Amino acid sequence: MTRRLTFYAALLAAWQALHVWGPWPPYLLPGPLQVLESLIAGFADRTFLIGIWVSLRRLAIGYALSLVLGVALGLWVGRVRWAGDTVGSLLLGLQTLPSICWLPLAIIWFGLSEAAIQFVVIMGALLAIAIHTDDGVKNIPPIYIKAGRNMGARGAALLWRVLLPAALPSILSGMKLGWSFAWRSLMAAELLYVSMGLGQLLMMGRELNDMAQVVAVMMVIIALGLMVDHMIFGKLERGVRRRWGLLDAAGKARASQS
Amino acid sequence: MRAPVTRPEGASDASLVSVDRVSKTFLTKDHEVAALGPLDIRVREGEFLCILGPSGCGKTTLLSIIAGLETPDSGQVRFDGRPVAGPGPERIVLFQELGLFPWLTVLGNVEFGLRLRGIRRNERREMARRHLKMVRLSTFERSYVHELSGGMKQRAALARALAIDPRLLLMDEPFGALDAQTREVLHLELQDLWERTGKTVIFVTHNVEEAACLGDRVITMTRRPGRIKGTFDIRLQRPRRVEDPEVAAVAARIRHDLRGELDEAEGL
Repeated sequence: MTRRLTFYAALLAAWQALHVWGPWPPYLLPGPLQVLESLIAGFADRTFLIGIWVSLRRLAIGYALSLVLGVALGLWVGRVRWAGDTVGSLLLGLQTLPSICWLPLAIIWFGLSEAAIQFVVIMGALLAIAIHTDDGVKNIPPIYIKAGRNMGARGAALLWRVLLPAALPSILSGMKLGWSFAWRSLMAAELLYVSMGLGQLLMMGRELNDMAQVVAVMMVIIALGLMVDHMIFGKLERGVRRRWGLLDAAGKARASQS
Repeated sequence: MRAPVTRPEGASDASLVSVDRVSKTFLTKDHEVAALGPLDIRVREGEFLCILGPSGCGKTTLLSIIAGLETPDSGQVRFDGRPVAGPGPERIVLFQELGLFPWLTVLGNVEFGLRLRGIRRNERREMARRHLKMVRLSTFERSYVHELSGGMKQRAALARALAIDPRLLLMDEPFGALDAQTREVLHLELQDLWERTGKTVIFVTHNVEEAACLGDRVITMTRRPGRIKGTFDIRLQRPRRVEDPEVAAVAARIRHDLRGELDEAEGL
């Protein structure tokens, strides 16, 4: 911990030194203090709060839709042979496309609207979630399904009480990956056209030549990303790992046994 | 739980389970492998039947067919007079790999089958706890599966099966992976539970002593495709232990009969 503190203190000092003595004029490379001022000002006049709110709301809506659709799609592709052979391969192909590449089409289809941004966010998360769900369902040890059926689970009960929980570790990694894709595509989409949100605050900073604001917004974006990663996904993952016994006291991963 | 059934020796003709001319073939890449039968078996209500045979003789397949998890290629299984068409909670399998759910606590696992039947939470919980107490696992109800030892996992799986109150318990080499002491303890507990609950048990094993120790009757099977080789009625007092001289004598008789069928690799 002290090692880390020292590192960040040194980083700040180096930044300040570069700001004062570096090759760029100070207004192009703002120092830590200017950025801090900009951060405070941004929160004080609520522009950052509004940006955070707008971006997170978009993300929440798009991500929630992706989660529902992605898990459903993944289950379908994972459990139905012909769907896996056809749609499954399409999903894998589409996933290689960075989802921001959908923006031109989305703008043509939906106009310069909220829907276009949502579309890009959904394309970012949906495929990752669907593919991981598919993978998780296909790799469920058959014994769980046998045991479930044996005790009378069929249809929806088998799905809810056996297939989904058994595939949960894999679904969770899909969710985590999907979130990071969605977050990146959202920022990219917001940068590319005026739309409020954090991406637009970045562009505004550039247009006003206010590099302190640009860096401040970048920090807000990093902070939000870390928060979601650690507080939501970190917690969920640790919970699942503890239950399944994927982590022992030494913190080493080991295969779970029935 | 039902009151213990009185089981007069061979008195009832009505079999709980009848396996008629059942056979099963598996397809491998380029040819068919006859895995099982054809064979006939009758099991009386309340009986403890052991099926003994070498690995790969189709014992597990037979159990799955009786459970309704697999369908036979020919022949038919009837349970209580009705043809078996699929799995059902009156016939519960204790799988070799157990199949306890790692995402549920021990209590959650035992409640699983009860929840499927729509039994309400409080009642369900109370039933599950009673069965955990029966297998002496009460203190571990909040543990997850990976936190249990091998013998405790067996007990949890047994409680999960018994909680559903099946009429027939199908056990597939459940104690194969356990050390000798744990196995002996579980042999005694299983006999005790069987006498208390009056369940009908079909217990599959490749261990001669185990079969002789547990069964009212032992059916031996041949190598693949598994057919019935011999039947042994065992009328020894319970509880029995593997090292009881009477049990050892029966085991010797069975082993003599099985000569050439059991795998040498198993050191029997």
